[in-house]
Amino acid sequence: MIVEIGHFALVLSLSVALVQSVLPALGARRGDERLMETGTIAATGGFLLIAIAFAALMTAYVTSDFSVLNVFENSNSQQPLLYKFTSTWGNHEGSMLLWVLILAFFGALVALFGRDLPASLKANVLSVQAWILTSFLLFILLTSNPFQRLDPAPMEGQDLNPVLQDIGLAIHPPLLYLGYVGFSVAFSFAIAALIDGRIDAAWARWVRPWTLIAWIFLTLGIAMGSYWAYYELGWGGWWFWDPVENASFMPWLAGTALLHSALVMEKRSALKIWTILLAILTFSLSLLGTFLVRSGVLTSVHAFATDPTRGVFILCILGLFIGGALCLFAWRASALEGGGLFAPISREGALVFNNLFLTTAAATVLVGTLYPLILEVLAGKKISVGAPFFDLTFGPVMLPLLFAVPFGPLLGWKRGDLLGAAQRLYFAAGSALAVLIGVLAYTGGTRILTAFGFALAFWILAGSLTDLFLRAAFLRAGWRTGVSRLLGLPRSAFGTTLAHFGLGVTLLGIVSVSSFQGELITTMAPGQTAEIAGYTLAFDRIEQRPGSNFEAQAAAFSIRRGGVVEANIESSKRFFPARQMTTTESGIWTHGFSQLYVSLGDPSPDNRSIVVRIWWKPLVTLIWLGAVVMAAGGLLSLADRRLRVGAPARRSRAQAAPAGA
Amino acid sequence: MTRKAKRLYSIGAMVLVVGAAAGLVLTALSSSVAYFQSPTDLVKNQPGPAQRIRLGGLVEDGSVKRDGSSHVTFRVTDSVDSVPVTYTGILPDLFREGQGVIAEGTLGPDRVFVADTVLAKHDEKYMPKEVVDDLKARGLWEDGKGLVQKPEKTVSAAPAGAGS
Amino acid sequence: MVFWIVAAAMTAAAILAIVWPLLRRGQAEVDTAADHDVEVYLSQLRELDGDVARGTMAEAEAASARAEVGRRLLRASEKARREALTDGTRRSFRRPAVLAAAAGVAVLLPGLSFALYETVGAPALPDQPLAFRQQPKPQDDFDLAGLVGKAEARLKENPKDGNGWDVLAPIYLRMNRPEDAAEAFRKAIALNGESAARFGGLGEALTDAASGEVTDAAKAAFAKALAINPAYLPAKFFLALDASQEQRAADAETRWSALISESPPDAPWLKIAEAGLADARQRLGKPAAATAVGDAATVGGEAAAPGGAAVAEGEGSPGGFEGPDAATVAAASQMAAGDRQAMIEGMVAQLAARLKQHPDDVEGWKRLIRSYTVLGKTDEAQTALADARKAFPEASAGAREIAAFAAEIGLPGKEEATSR
Repeated sequence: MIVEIGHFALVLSLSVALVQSVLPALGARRGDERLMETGTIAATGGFLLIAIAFAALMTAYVTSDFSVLNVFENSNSQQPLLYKFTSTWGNHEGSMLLWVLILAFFGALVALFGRDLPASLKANVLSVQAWILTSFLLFILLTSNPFQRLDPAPMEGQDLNPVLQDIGLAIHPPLLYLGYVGFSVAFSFAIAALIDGRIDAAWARWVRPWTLIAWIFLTLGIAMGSYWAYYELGWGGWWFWDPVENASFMPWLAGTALLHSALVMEKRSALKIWTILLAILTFSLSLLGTFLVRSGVLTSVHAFATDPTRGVFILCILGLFIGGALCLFAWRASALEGGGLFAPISREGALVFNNLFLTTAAATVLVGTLYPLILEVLAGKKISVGAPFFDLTFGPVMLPLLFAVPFGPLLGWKRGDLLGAAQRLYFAAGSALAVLIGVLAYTGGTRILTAFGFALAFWILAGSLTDLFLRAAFLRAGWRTGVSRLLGLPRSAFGTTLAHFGLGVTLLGIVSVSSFQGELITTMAPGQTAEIAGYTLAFDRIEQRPGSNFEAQAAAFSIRRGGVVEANIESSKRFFPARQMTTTESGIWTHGFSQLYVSLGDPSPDNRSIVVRIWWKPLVTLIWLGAVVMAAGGLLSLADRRLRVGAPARRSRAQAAPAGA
Repeated sequence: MTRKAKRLYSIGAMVLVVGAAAGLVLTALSSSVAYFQSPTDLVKNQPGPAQRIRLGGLVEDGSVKRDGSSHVTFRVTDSVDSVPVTYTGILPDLFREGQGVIAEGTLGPDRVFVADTVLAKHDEKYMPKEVVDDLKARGLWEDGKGLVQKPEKTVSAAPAGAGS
Repeated sequence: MVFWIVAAAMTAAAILAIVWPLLRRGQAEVDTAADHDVEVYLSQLRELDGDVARGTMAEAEAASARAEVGRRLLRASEKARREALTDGTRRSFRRPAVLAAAAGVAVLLPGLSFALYETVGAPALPDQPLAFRQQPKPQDDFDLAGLVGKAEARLKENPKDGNGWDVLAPIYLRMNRPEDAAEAFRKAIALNGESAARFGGLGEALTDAASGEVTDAAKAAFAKALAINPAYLPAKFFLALDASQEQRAADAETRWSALISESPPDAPWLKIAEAGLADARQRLGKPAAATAVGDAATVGGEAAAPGGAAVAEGEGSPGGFEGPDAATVAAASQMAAGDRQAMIEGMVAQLAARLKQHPDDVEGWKRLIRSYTVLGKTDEAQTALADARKAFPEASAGAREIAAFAAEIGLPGKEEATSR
């Protein structure tokens, strides 16, 4: 009965979403408070209903109710409890339900925390949210219903794809969806503004915090996914330019651009039209990502089972929303008012520079991702676009941007002093130069690109700290005053610094791994040793061990340096009988920021030895750590109290004359 | 600077950046993409050693040979032609004889395909899409049924079973 | 019933919540967008001072920015004042229109929800969590009987419902009601036309009804099935069985070996077919070395792997898959003479002895374990499995294969199921 209650709640939420699609928007047109008010209730109620549906599905998973087709196909009664929970979204239907749950969650957030928004804006936003919600609920109920039943229920389920049976899966998709779907709020605000034909100043204030929330989750989600692929696939790589990775990376690039342009809009009321376009594009890229992953037009680790009707359905949703939004934009944009003026060399100018490069970078990724699909449809040729393409295009586009990062925060609003900013960056430039020379000396002058890479990373690291350092005026005012000044700075200043610093950290990790990584593929028998990066890896023993729903073949290694055992790690192969499938569990030893990574290959024909792949990955953890720092920066920025704009005080209504003008 | 000049200036900068990026994309597309070919295509076309290729098909039964280290040779077949492949490294977990595989690399002068990446299916439901499409085009694959024709294997009439 | 109450309650709650504000008389005062604009511009002005103090904006720029924001602020506050004075820009709906909207919601919400749920939902189907399904199931049999009863009642009202007979016939067969099954298959054939599966089922039912003897009527049905679909294996199985029963050894040998070579490796009848073949050969005086289960399974295993998924799907839909099932296997086993059993056991013992001397034979171990399982000697099978595990070094390919095989035929699964 629980299952069917969940199913009914899902159906009911569709009806509620339909009501929410119509009534608030109607109310906003006529300024009718009663109709607008229904939006708030419907958004909250719809969220509750979808939450009930989701909880019901999760209950079915936890109790291994195989009378639900989805549960039968994607779980197994032998699975550990944690993976019974996570199986809920480890498949197409369940993850779509999570997708709409999060969409409804953001709708409810707007409804609850949007009290300070102009009522008509809020009502319009909620209606636009409901349009998206309605189409995806229809998609779920008509093509991918997770509540489809199976009677009589089979005794045993088919198990979750073993690759997905990992704690990483528990966190990665929800984070990623919170990011993807979070951009829907910025999108809805943009559409609401276009429908209204005016951009409320309040919107300018709201778009950034909402974008920030989505951006924080997306950053963490991508980092999590990258780390998961790194240790779970056993390939030792942390980014493959896989189309599905690109699908999440494109909205991130566009979202980062949106974050920066929203800053201009919020502070200076400029770049309004561009920001609206960017908000539309960012969410469009999120939808495109959903389409790419769900439609089966591409194959990858993440791609779900293929079904043409689903692809066509999502393509329709995609066309409707992206096409509709862009048409609305083309029709209405010229009617919108422009904002504040600024000189090319200024904080605003720097942010435009940022936007230009980020969107261009997103475009190159888009081309690389879609080109094979388009070529196949038009010319019938099958090609694959991989890392070489992106190294050649994405890299060069990002370089000028990375170089420019430290300048941005040092330029003044409206009109900045480039020369002055450059002078203030002498410390950063000095440290970058020192690193450049140091690396050149270390490598004997052979690794020029590597040296420049490290220098760039340190340029960003030192450059981002420069801003805070100068603002606190440690040198002029002494450290005591400096600290108090530092603490007096708005949190968003720390946010900026931290986010840029995190970017530098990630870059440092990338440069370090790609230039100094050590790799060794060899055949080892128990008792043998291998040498890598100054460490001795001894293969101690290998044993067969039963797991909950798998059989593990676990190899134990000890890592020694100078005869002293530093650590013991274990790498294993797991065989899952339910799916007749093997996965590789890599053994990883984290030492400082670096890691030693061991994964197992096939045993030799005589079974005495086994192929072992060993990597030394210097500073590799910085890649993900940097992302966490970036997200922390976003969080700090979000906490900035200045962003909260109070509702107009009632009493001042009649004499709303400016006090400060 | 007048407002108009400013606008021209910024549009010029944008065109420059976008143009440069477009140039990069075009160069990269002509030089660094890999074309999918089936063993039959590969035998017919004989591409040069510079062309990156994704070779897709089935791992021929009984063709996988390991030399005791991480060096492996096998043949990839589409049941019409087959191509020898060499690869050094760890094969994916689901690499098996008779299963779909994609090998990425170049064709050597001795007509042996040198793979630097080998991809197999990710689970038992999945077959590399390119391989499926290719087999479908030859009528060797049907949706929902999978492979409809396999290199014949006859059951031995004189079984060497338990009783002997 | 409880379900419908909960569903109705949820719907009612949703309607009430949404309709509530619509029922209010008059409406609360709302701030206009201009009021909010004023507030935002005011705070922008305040921030300008902070920016200048922190040096992120030059004083000259700040002055012009102040002028910009000031102009916007003036415009917004002017607009806000105008709206406040007239208060008439609002052309809100009149009460009847709002009430109509409320009524619309009250009708549309339940109407749409229940209509859609009716098409996609299965309200009568209870949850079937693992814990529930693992209980001893008199309940289930009762349910099956109940379902059959319902189907019978429906067919009594509408005896021309060919699909109904089609579904019911194999269920009868499985419930050990062969006479009813034969009748149902005949009706299905008459109403829905001839098909290999229906004739095969009919033959099977007739065989069952004759306590396992393939009667002439059954033979005719199987012949018809084969005439429609020459590759219909169940019919071939019974015809081979018939040959064995009538002791036409040469015929039986060809039929059984043909069946074995055509069958998928997981065909439920393989073991019987092998026994039948061995028996026939023995009668012909050939060496009785026909137990090629392992070989046939491994060779065929690869060839038929893509079909595996289809079979698994078929299990879900009742009546979708009709091959010789447990009942048939049982019937054929009855036919198997006692000496055949003795012969098989002799073969198995030989195999076990050989494996003691040459324990490195993976296929041999698999065959031995499978034979024990087929013979119902679970304990011996477990011992053999343990021996096999001992025979191969841990982590070797052989050990893995044995483990996989054991998992496949469900040997170690039992222990794990009870320990969880």
